[in-house]
Amino acid sequence: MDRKDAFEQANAFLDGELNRDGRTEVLARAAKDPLGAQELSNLSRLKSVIEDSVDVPDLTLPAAAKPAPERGGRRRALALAACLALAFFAGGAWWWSSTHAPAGDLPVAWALKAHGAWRGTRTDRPFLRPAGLRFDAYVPDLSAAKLRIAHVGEITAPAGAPALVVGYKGTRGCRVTLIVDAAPRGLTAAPVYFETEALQAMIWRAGPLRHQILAQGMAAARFRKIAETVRRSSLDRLPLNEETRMALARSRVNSAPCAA
Amino acid sequence: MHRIEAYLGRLYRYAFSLAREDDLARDLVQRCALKALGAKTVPDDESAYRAWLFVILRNDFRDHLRRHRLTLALFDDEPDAEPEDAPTMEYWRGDERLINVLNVKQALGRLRPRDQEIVSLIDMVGLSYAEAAKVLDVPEGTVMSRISRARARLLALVGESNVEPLTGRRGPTGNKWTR
Repeated sequence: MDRKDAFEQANAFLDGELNRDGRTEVLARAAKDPLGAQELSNLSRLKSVIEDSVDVPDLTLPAAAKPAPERGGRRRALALAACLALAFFAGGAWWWSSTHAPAGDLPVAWALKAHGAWRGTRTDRPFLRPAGLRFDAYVPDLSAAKLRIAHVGEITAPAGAPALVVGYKGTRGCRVTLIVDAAPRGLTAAPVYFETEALQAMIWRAGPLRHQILAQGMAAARFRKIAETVRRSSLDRLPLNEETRMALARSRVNSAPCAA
Repeated sequence: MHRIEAYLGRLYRYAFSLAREDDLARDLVQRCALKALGAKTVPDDESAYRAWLFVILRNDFRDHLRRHRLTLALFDDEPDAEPEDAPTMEYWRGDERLINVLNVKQALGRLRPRDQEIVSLIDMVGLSYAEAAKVLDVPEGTVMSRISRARARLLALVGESNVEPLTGRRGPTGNKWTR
């Protein structure tokens, strides 16, 4: 393979356009050739910086472009709401039943409320401790997934205990919320997923802390990648390595913007 | 929320890369939204829908240029031949700290319109090669070579930058920052 082809392949690799064999080939070449590895790193950085080079203003549809309500829209909306409520309660019940016995109360409703409510301050500190907790929560940097910390705050969980709420905001309408509080007895480090078309959540234990991560309208594969990354970093308490950062970036490139 | 609203930001990024000014970019996005919402047939498949939106915006920009009797090399029907100023394919050996927002913004402004457009579609908007090929009406292989050539040229321009990273260390003269 000549140099031009190798460069094109490195670009295609970063854009998530190669199949498994192609990816393996690029990684093997990078492993053998430090200049090739550096090239991948440079291209990855360039791609990430380009994405940040245009500031997007707040855009809304013009009034004339808003679709008029259709006949029967109200009835359809009610039917949709009923379906969503059913799905929510069915999903919540499944989540509850699959984890309630070992993990104690799983606060679906208040976690969702916390997810929808945050607006606020930024932080760059990797360790945060909510008042009343004896342990720091590790807050990973998810900038590789184009998610920036946009909110750090505390709420009171239904049982009266404090919980840390970290809000990550993306550039394509995505919001991800990490909620950390004291872990109930029985909750383990194994992840428990809760997914519907509109809502994704994952819960796990890291040390003495319960972690819940939530997003709405995010592509399922991308959510799982992010959630698993956060889970692993909460257990390791280390920044993400380059491979994980690239995987997050690729996952974002290959997914649609958040629908919620 | 309407389906198109999830794409407004990405449409703006593309529009801005074509128009290079905020007002026109906003107008292009709004007109694209109006056309998309008024269309009789809309692609169901999300990927096809995405490409369709960007085709609408691109065609509208082309009409805008025609209305104002402007031309842009972007819409030349020339074959995608290797240009005379094709970047060298040697490894880029610049300091990676040169790849920062300021330098990249400046370098993007110096790229040819065709390179700017492909960088915009792939890196700013996040389209796949197949989707970008539909927008540009070219084969996927052309997208692959265009984006790699555009990035090589971009790196070369970034390497020429005189905005050097600071290390916080004073040079021998005591009044210059050095790398």
